[in-house]
Amino acid sequence: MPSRPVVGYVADRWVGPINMYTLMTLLLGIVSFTWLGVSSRVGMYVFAVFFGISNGAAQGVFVGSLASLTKDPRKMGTRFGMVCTTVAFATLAGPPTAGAIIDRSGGEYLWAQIWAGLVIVLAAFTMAAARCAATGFKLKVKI
Amino acid sequence: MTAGLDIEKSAAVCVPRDHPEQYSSDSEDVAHATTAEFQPPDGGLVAWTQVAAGCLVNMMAWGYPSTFGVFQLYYRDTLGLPEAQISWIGSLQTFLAFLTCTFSGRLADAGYIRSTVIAGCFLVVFGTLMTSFATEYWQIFLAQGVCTGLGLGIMFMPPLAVINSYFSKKRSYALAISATGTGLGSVVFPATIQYLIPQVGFPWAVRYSAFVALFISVASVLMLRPQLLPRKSGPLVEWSAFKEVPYVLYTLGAFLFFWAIYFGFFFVSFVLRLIGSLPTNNIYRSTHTPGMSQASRRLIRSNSSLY
Repeated sequence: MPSRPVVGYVADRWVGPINMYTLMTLLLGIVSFTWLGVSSRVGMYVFAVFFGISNGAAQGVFVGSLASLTKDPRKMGTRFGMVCTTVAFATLAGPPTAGAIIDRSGGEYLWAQIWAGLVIVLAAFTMAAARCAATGFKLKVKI
Repeated sequence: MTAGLDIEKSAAVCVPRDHPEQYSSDSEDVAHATTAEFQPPDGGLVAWTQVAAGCLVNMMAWGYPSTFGVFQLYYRDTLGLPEAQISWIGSLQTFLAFLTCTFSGRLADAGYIRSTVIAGCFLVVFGTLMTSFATEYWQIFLAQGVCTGLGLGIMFMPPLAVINSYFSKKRSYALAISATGTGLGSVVFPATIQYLIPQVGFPWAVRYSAFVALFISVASVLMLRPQLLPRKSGPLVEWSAFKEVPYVLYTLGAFLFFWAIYFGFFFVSFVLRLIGSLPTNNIYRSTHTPGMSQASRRLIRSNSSLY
């Protein structure tokens, strides 16, 4: 059962939700790159397990990290809703984008996997930038 | 605003100033005053009940869609449609679930917590029931893609806003616990349908899952107890939020994250199919990926031995 509550607890207690989301997204990016090395069925299962765990960890603090950016809790619904509506287009575009990359590279998954890993790592850096924009360039800020 | 101020004034009159504890416990059921006055309790039975309600709603909102792996195989085998065409139903469902969040989020902020959740639940249960009667592609597309998708998005947002208002120091912990519902739901719903199809047939299996959804909805609505004063005025979309750099960067980061992550979900199951295992095994791998954070390896092992 563990990853989400554990990540949420650690975020509240020590790290801060946005920092935690950034770290977990980076971890997810790294896990995505290990996908490149998967060639067997057992390897695929192991990858699926780690992908699931790190995805759960990242998404567990997804809402919490926006909440820590939102000063007025009465605006939380609207603001998170706006993020979700933007995300809607991402979910719609994701599989076809990957599909197009796969078609371009002649049915090979390699470039699509590299694309996914890079985009997730880029997401982590963007989150880090959001955190810096909110707090300034300080290393030890709990947010 | 005036009603809230009246409550605040009368409470201040009734309760002596030197008994702040009494003030807070007496007015627990009353809608609280302005945010400046209000301190989140950060715990207690009422607050954790909201987390439980959020967990149930998450079970439906993000757990239920993972049933689509089971549906997809059924539609392919019985309707003889190409997989790409069928998967449009699932994609549209997810897309609409996210898309409607701005509306349901604004409604939640305006104080329509229970009514918004009830409306969403009605659409989900109705859409699922209609799916059980559907025999043509366009019927399934409307019932499962459009109706259920809209419902899932509408019901998802209000509990989050409520949980957010009950916690401050333990906020991420509370929100993360409510998010475990996603994993629970993505094990419960597919397993229900998968078990029942051979026993009672597809239409009744889907109807039973609609009843499960109805039960979960009623339970969560009974538990929800909004406490913030509604923010009635104000536009649907708060465009000024996009002038705040952290918010814009956060939104961009979330966009990138979900852009790539759905490729992950989608292709973990697809690649497994290429590597070549039995079809039922595939469903299990694909349904378990979102639930993986929840379900331990033990559960997966017991499931694969069952099927």
